[in-house]
Amino acid sequence: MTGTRDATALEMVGVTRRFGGFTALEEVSLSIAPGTLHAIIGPNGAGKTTLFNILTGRLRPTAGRVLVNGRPAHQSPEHRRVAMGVARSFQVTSLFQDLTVRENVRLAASGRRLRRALSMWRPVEHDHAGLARAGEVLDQVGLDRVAERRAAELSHGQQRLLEVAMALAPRPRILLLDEPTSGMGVDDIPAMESLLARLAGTHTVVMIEHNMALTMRVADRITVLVSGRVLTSGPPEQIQSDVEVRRAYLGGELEGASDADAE
Amino acid sequence: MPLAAPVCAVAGLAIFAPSYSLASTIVIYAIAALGCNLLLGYTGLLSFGQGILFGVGAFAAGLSFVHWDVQAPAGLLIATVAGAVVATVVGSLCILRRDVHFVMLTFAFASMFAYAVYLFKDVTGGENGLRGFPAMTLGAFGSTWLELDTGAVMFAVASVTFVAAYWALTRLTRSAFGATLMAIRENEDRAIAIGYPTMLFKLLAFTVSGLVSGVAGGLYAVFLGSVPDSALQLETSTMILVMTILGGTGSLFGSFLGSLAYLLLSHYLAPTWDRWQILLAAALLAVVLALRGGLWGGLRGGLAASVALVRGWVR
Repeated sequence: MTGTRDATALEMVGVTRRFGGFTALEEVSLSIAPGTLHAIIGPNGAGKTTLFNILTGRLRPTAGRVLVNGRPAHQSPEHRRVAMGVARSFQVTSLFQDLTVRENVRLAASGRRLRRALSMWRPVEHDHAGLARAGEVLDQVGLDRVAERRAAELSHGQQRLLEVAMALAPRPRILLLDEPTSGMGVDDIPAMESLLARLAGTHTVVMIEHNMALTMRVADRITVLVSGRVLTSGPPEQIQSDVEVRRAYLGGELEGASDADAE
Repeated sequence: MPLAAPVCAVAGLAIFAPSYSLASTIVIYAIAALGCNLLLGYTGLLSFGQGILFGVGAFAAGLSFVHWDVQAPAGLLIATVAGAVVATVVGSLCILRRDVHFVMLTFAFASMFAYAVYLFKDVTGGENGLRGFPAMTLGAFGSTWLELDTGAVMFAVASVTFVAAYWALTRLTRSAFGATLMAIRENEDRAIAIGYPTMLFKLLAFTVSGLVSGVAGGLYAVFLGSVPDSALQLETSTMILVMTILGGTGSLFGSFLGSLAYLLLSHYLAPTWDRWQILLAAALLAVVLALRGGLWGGLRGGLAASVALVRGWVR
């Protein structure tokens, strides 16, 4: 998989990130094949969020490279990653609370068309492309019925879906989902799981997730991060049976593989 | 339709205000509050620099009257451009930081400009302010159409400018640009994550705010026939901020109400009671604690409630 340029959608090569004297990530290399769902797991403090922030451009790596579709991306700022086809969702729901659900998604859909967003005179209703895309995405995630409500009025589960809808809106080829089921009740999880399963067929998805049962069901590959290093990478069955993984992190948590809330 | 609200506002002033002088002052500060509202209400930027922009507009117009002997329209144009340029420069440095740090930077700039008035006495007139304006006239390119010698004409000029600024800002706040500003107000990190270069948007908001505040300052100079040193002081900044918050952030009509309430209170109370601003402070407390959306929010809520009540009776 490594070596050929087109075979990977997203690649990290020897990425190190230090904060002062603390090394959050050390020599991390990852390569993610197009159209696969790749989960990143690991205990708290393993560096998952730092890794995500480097993929999204919020943080620059201290050393190493990030390649998007074979092209170096680690020097381009966060807002330009969207134009490279990369979009993210947040672990802590991060919406435009006072705006309508539809407007949240329209803003996300139009984020890569700077000239349109800078138009100061034409009413925002003239953003036909953005509104059309918002309608599609809201249908896709099942939020069309609450489209005119303020985001703040949604239930937590609906807010998590809106969170993902905003990542989907700009038609990214690569989706970075930071704990999509974070804080979700058991009732809401099936809606997210079916959405993830559908996305996996059409997008390259990188996901941090604590819900092991769900991760084992939807992921094509799993990378285990411990203390800023890649412990191992492989398909779910291999990770599940890996003795080292159990000892370092999972602590038998996988035996049942039925726990819905890993928190 | 978007013109109905500002036109009604100035018509109401023309009919009910005790003097054209007070009416003009209300309209001029309403324009300054509109400029403040774009930053505070729509973009979520609390700037103490609004007085700078107002004062720079006033001094720019004043200097052009004193030294170049231009007529009012040219002076207003110069004030507008000066406001925009200073806003862009000051804004470009302030937006490098966020939240409290941003506020402190605007505060530092406001103090700097306030002292500059006394440092460059030869230019600004220092404590005496800028005086010795020629008679104000409306006209351009050597021809004069109208003498600005009565309160009614001055009020008309201020009103036309107010309606134009209100209309332009209505368009702007309902545009894709305005929608993006509101997204930045709600959650700047997310706005960046979905692809918006938010620094550029904030800078442009500053520039537009400078245009609007600058023209307000220019009108102030035309109206007074001089520029007092207080135009560039911190108190002007706080006054504009208080008007904006009192009236209701995030609603353009609120800016008019804020200026109206502030200046009416001042007009009726100040002559008899030195400490009238205590009442103003109490009003500000009440609005911030209880009346989310300011006077305009309260008024709209009251209207909606009474409409519902009347409907209930009719049925």
